[in-house]
Amino acid sequence: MHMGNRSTWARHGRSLAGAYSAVFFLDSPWAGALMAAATFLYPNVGAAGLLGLLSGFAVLQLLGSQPALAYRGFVLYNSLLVGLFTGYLFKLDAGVALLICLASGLTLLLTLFLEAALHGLGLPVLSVPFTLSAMLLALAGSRFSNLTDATWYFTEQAPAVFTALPGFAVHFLRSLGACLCLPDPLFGTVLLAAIAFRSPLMAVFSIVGFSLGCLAESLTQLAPLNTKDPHFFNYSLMFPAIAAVFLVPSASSVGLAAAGTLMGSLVTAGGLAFWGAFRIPITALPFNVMVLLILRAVRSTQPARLATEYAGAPEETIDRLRLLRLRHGTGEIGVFCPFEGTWAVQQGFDGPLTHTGQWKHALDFVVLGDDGKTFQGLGNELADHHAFGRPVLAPFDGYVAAVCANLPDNPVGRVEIQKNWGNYVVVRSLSGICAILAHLAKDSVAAAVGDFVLAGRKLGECGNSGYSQEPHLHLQVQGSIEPGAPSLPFHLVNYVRDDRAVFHGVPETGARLSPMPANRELERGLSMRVGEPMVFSRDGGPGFAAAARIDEVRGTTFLLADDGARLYYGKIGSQLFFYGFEGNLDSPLAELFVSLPRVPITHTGRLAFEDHLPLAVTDRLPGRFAKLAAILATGGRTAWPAAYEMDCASLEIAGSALLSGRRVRTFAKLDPVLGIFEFGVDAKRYRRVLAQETVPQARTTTKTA
Amino acid sequence: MTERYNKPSMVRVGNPLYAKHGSSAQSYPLIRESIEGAAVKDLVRAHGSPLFVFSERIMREKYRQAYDAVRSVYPNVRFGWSYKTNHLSAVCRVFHQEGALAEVVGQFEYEKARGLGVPGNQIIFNGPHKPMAALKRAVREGAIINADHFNELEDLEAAAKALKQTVKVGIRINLNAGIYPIWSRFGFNLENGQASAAVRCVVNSKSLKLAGVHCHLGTFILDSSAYGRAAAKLSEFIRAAESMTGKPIEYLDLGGGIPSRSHLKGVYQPPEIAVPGVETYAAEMGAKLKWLLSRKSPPRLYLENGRHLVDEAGFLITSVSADKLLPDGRRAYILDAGVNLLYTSTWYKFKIELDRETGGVMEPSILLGPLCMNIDVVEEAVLLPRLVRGQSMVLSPVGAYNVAQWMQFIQYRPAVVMVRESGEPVVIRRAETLADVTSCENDLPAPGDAHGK
Repeated sequence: MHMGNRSTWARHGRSLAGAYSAVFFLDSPWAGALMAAATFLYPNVGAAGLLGLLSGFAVLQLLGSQPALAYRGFVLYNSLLVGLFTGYLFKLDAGVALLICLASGLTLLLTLFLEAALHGLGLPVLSVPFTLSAMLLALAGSRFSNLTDATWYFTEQAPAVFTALPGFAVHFLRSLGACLCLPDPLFGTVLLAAIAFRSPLMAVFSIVGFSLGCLAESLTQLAPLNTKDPHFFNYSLMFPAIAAVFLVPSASSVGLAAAGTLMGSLVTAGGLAFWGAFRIPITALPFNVMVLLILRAVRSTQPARLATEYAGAPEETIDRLRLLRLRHGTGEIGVFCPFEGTWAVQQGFDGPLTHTGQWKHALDFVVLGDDGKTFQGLGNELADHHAFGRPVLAPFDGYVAAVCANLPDNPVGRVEIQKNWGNYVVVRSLSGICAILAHLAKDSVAAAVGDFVLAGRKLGECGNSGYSQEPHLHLQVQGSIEPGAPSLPFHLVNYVRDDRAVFHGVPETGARLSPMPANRELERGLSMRVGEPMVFSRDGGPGFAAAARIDEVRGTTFLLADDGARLYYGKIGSQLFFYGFEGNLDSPLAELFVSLPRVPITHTGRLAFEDHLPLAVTDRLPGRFAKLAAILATGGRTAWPAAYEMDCASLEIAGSALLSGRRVRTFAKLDPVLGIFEFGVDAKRYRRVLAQETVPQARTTTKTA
Repeated sequence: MTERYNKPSMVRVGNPLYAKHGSSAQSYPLIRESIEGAAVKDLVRAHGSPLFVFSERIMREKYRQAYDAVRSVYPNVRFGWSYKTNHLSAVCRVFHQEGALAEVVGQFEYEKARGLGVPGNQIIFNGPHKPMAALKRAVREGAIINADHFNELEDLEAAAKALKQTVKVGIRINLNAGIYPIWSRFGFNLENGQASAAVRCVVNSKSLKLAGVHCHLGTFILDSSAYGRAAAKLSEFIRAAESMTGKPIEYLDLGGGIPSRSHLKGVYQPPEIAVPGVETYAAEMGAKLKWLLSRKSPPRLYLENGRHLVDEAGFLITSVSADKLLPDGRRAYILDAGVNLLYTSTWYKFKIELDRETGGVMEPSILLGPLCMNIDVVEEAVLLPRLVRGQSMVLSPVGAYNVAQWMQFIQYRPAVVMVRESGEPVVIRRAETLADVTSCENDLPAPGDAHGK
C-alpha cells in the first residue's frame, strides 16, 4: 500500500513536470523539472505558474479524469501557461492567486472542450485555450479594481554577462523564455539547454524558426524590430511544431514550416495591430493560427504526411516512422497469402494486361510445375492446370460480405466478358477494408454472406470463371464490397521467397512465393501469457525476471523487466515482433531486442531475414544523432540492417547487428513450451530458468521416477 | 604399357533394331564423374570404397516439393520423418530442419529421436511392439502414439493409471484400398468392425482419449488413387468415430508409402513413367479430405514419408575388385559392395553409372558382391562395356533402407558422406573398425580355462 502511494505520487510528479516540457512538445519529466525550477528565477512568475498548474490539476481530479489523460502533461500545460502569464502580469497576492485558480480551471475546461471540438477536424488543441484565456484575462483585468497598471509586475533582471552577447542571441534567448511568459535571456538559456538535452533537433529548429520570423518582420515592417516585444517566441515554436512534431520530419516538412513561419509574420502584424488597439496581448495567437491552418491543409491533401503517433521528441518520431516503414511497410493494408504452398505471380501491380488504371493494385496467382508451366500434359483441360481446385483461403479475419458461387468455369482459353469477376468471395476486415478473391471454381465456395472467417479459413477453390483464360486466383483490396470497386494499395505479409522470410512486400510478376507455414506448437510457446513471470539466469548466475503486461493507455502489450525496462511486442499472424524499447540500454531487455527483434513462427527450413533496430537500442547519444543526420540528409533512405538466420529445427536464431558501430553476433533459442529460452549478444547468455511452481510436468516426472 | 590379354569369347549379337519391339537395351553406358559437384575420384581417394554418399540438396528439394504439394491442398499438414528408412543423425537433422517431426516405430528409434533433441510431443510413435518402458516414457513426454492392437490399448491404460494422467491416443486402421497386398496385420481392421470396437474401447476408458486416426497402406504404392480411396473410407470412419466420442479428432495420419523414382524389378516401364509425381498423390488425398477444411479448425494431417524423400538422395560408390569370365560366357565383375550393404537390391534395379568413359562394346555382365555367398548378386544382367580393375561405379537410388538395414557380415560397414549444399563432402558416419564390432562383446575365457579344471 505504501509502495502504491509512493508510485502514485511519482506519477503525479511526472505528469506535473511533464506539463512544462510539453510546451515544447517534449515528453521528458527531467527536462520539465529543470524548466520548472528555472521559472523560480522570478519567484513571482514561478509560483504563479505552479499555482495555475496545480489548480488545473485539481480541476482534472475533481472531474474524476482517467489517469491516462492526466499523465500526458499535454492536457495541463494550458493551465500552466495561464498561471505563468498571470504571474508575469501581476504581483502575486491573495486576489491574484484567486484569479489564477479561476483562470486555470477555466482554461482546463476550455482545453477539454476544444479537444472535443477540434477532434472532428483532426486537429490538436495546441495552446488555443491559453491564448483565449489570456485575452479573456486581459479584458477582465480592466474591470478588476485591484489590478491596475501599477501592479504590473515584470521587469527583466538579466545578469550583466548577457550584455556581452550579440544582440540577436539575447533577443532569441529572451523570446525563447517568453514561451513560458518569462522573457529573460538567462531563463531562455536554461530552456535552450533543457530542450537540447532532450532533443537537439528541436533546439536547432527553434533557432531557425526565430531567425526566419525576424527576417520576415525586418523585411516587411517599417519600424525596426522591438527586441523587448515578446511575440517573437511564436516563430520559435511554430517552425519546429510544423517541421518535426505534427508532420513526418522531412525536407518538405521543413519547407512547409519555413513557408508557414514567413506567413505567420502577417498574422503577427495583423494581430498586433488589431488586438493591440484594445491592449489585448496576442500571446500565442500566430503560432496557433499557422500550425492549425497548415495541419488542416495537409490533412486534406496528403494525410500520410502527418505523424500518426508522436513519440515524445522529433528524433524518436523520425526513428519510429523509419522503422515502421522498413519493418512493416506503412500506408498500405497487409494481407496474408490467400493460399498455401508455392504459387507464382502471373500479373503483379500495374500489370500489362488487366491490372491497369484504378485496378492496378491487384495480384494474379498461378501454380507452376517443375517445368515452369502452369499445366501438365497438353493443358487443354481445366484439371491439367496445377492451380485448378486448390483451396483459396481468407486473407484476413473478417466477415464474408459478398459471394457469387454458381457461374460455370470457362473452357481453357475462353473468357466470360459479361460477368468478368466470375465466382468470388469478398471478405470485409474488421476495419472495413475489403478483399476480393475472384475466378473461383463453380460451386466451390464454402462460405456464406455474414460468416465470420479467420485468416487462413478455406473460402473456395481456384477455378476459371469470369474473365479468366486459365485457372488463376485474382486478389485485390478495395474500399467497398462491390466487385470492380477501385483497388487500394496493399502488401502481402509473412511469406517465404528464395529461402528468405519476407514480412511485408509486394511480389513482382514472376515471383514465386509461399506463405510461412505456421508452427502451432511454437505459437503456443510464444503466446506470452500476461503476468506470467519469465526468469532468466545470466551465464549460470543470477539474471533478471520479466513478465508480459498490458499498457492500458495505448492498448499495447509489453514485457516489463524487474529493472523497469519495457519492451513492446506485437503479433501479425505467424510473426512475433518487438518494436519499442524504453529503459536503460544496459537492461537485458535491450539485448533481447537486439538478438530477437522478430520471430517467424514457422517450422520449415533455414530462413534468413533482415531486420532493423531502433537507434535508441543500437546507439548511444552521439552516434544516434549522427545517424539521424544521415537519415534526414538522405530522406530516410539510409538503413543499418541487421541480418538473422533461423534454424527451424533447433529453433535457434543467429544474427549479426551493429551496436555502437561494432558488429556483434547475436543468438537466441526458442522453445515450443517455454517460448523465449535463451538469448544473448556475443558471449553473454541469458538462459531461462524454471521457477518450481511453473513446471507441473517436471514435478510429475520426479514423482514417478 | 601393354594391355592385358583377354581370352576372346563369343557373344550372341541379337539386333533388336530389326525386332518389332525396338531396342530395349541401352546401347551406351551412363557416366557420372561427380555427385553434386564432388568428384567420385576424389571421394574414393579420401574416404575409400565402397562409400555411401548423400546429397543434402536433393533431400531438401524432395522434402520441399512434397511438403509444398500437400500443404497447397491441405494447409494444416506436417510430415513425420520415417526413422526406419534412414536413421543417420545427419540425415534426420536435415529433415527436422526442414520441419519434419520424427516418426518412430520402436524403442531404439524413439530414444534416437529424443537424443537428437526432438521434443516428445513432436514424435509420432507407431509400430506393433512398444515395450512398456518405452510406452510410459512416450506417454510422459506427450508423444503422438498410434495404437496397433487391443493389448496396446490395455498397456496404455495401465501407463495412464501409473502416471496418473489421461492419454491421447490414435488408433491405427487397416483397410482395403483396392491395392494388394493389404497390410492387414497392422492396426484394427475397418471393414470387419474391429476399428469401431477400438474406438468404443477408447471411449469407455476413463484414462484414454481419442486424438486421431492412423492408416498406413503399405510401401511403394504406385496407384495414387489408393490414397484417395483410403482417405474417403477414413472420412466415413472419422464421422462415425466423432459421433461416438462427441469430439472432433485432432489429427489424421495417412502414413507413408509414396514411392521414389526407383525401378522395382518386374515393372516394365522406367520409373520416370511408372511412378506418379507427388502432386498426384496430394491431389488424390486433398480431394477426399476437402470436407475437413470447412471446419473452424481442420484436424492436422500427418504424412510419414521416408523413401520418397531420401531414396534419390543416396548413392553408393563401389569399385571393381576383379573381373572374370563365367563358364556361360558372361562377364562377371566382383565389386567391393554386395547385398551386405544393398538390402534393397532384392527388389530394386539400380541405376549403374560408371566413373569414366571406357569405350568398347556393351556386353552382358553380372555384378557380384564381395561375400562368400552364392546369393550375393547386385545385378543379374546388365550391359556394360569392359571395365577395368579398380574402376568405380555409382549405384542409385540407394538412400532408403540400405543404410538402416545394412549388416556387418564378412565385411566392415563403410563410411557415409554427405555432400553439403555448398558442395563440401562431410563424413557423417566413419567407416567401421574392429573395435566397433567387438565393443559389445564379452571376451572369451582365457585359453588355460578351456580344460575345465
